[in-house]
Amino acid sequence: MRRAQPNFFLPFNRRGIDPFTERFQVTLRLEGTVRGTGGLRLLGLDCSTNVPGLYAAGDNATREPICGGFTGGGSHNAAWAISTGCFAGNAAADFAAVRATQPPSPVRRLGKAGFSKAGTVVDNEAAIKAVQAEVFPLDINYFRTESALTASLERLDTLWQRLESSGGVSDVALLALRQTAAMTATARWMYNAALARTETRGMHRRDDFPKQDQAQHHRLIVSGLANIAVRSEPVQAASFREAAE
Amino acid sequence: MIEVLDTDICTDCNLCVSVCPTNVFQAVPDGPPVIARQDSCQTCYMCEIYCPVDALYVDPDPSHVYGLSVEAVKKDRLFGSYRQAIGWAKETRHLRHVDDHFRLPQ
Repeated sequence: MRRAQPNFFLPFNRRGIDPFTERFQVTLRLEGTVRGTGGLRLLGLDCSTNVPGLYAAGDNATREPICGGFTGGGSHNAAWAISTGCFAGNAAADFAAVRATQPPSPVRRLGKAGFSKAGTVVDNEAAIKAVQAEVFPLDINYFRTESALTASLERLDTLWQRLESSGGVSDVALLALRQTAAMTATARWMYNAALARTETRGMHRRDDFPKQDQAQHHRLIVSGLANIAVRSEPVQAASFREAAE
Repeated sequence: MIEVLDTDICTDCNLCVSVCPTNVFQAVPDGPPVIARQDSCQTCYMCEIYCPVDALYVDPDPSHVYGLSVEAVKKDRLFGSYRQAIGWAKETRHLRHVDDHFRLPQ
């Protein structure tokens, strides 16, 4: 155990606790998101996304190709991180090598939230707490129902509108604001998808739809920031069959 | 949470500033970095295992500050203890290869 899981023993060693013979306090923690299941949609095993030159790896890349609607947990997560890191790194290097020979093309900014020092200053700590108040409660995020999800989403949408015009007073404040905006966007994507999936499947459980629905054996693709769209995509996994085996 | 930075042995390499995923440290010109945003620490131990001179100590409790002193951490021989446990120190490099757990399914 100690050889295979040195990280597990670290807190015990530092507190002088023998976990095999002594009792210790345990705290339950809900991580908020459905762990490691969703993420940026990959177009193929080179880990490309639909943004040219953007490759996703590890927790940022959806793990559905190897885990379906469930968490990767432990070994799958580690294997996914190492594999996609290699694939994405190789593909990004190839992309950069080709781009280096081409003239630079203009880029434009699509994001708004927390990008400008001229924007309205918002209380970042309060904004983080507001998102946590929507994703931590088990009655919203674990025992999911249409009414609770809809009410939560309205509050999150209001928060997003405030964040869209927000700005920071320093680079450090802007970075913190961007992270809060990412948390808010993720929470809104989660609950839009959760509302669209009117069944219980994998780690997603709907108290108002407690059974699995064969007709919903598809993936949900969520997109957009100000206006979020959800569409379904059949599970054919042509480009991922190799990864799933 | 990050508790202690021993400024006496810190070499100002700022590796902790780069590896911290939550921007806890602030680099300072001509001096050791400072723990500028302690409450942003998520207790991942990255700074501690990357520190080449074992000048950092992270307490396992992610939600409380204990205000530990350099002396207290030294006395309990905690500086560098995680690096040693996982074989990231020269003296314990043999530990890098002791985990044969991955061979179980083979």
